[in-house]
Amino acid sequence: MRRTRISLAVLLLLATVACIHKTSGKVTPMERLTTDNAVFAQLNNSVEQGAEAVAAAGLLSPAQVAPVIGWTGQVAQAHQQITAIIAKGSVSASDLTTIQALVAQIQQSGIALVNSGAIGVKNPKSQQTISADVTAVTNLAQAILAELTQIGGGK
Amino acid sequence: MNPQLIQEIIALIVQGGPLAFQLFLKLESYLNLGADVKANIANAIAAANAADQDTINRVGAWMAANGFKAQVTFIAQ
Repeated sequence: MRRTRISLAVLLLLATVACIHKTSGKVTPMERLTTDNAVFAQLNNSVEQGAEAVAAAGLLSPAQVAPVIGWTGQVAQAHQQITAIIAKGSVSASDLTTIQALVAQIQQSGIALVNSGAIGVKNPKSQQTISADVTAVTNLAQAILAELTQIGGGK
Repeated sequence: MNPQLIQEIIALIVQGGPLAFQLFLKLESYLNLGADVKANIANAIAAANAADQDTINRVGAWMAANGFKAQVTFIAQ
């Protein structure tokens, strides 16, 4: 049952992320990139809210969820830098290197957080475990980097 | 909206409650683009910035409310 719920949430998320609708015309690569970038920020926000809810419900102590909540704050700060670069509309090789480093930091810290083993509790916001949420955030960061690399930082 | 999606939303409400549904609606709002490419990009950038700032504000408030002096840092600055 738990697996079914997780699968549903993951499938729904993937279905929505993969399915960008537009009233007319084709979705441009830059529209896709910026939309996925916004989804990333919202997903990270949901992880934070879910971690707060887990602590409020007494499923984990504040000390246990503090690393997760702190991580989402750090991710948001790093992501603000990524968004600022994307918002310029063109990305230099130097910008791309900066984004790669930020994404690598998000991934490495996310993996460290998941491996800490203390976050296998369901996030009421997303209905996945917080561990799965963190993994989803890190995977989406990698997907955004791949899109950015693919379009060469152009429009 | 197709029937399968309606079923999935109903299942999400039943199983996940209003919080999960709220996330779904938020994502749906991001994924429905208008015809104007520049406006779509500007809206997505603004949405990303708003979500990140909200996260940072929430983290600061929660840390302060729970007696943590600083964020627990996983990302080297």
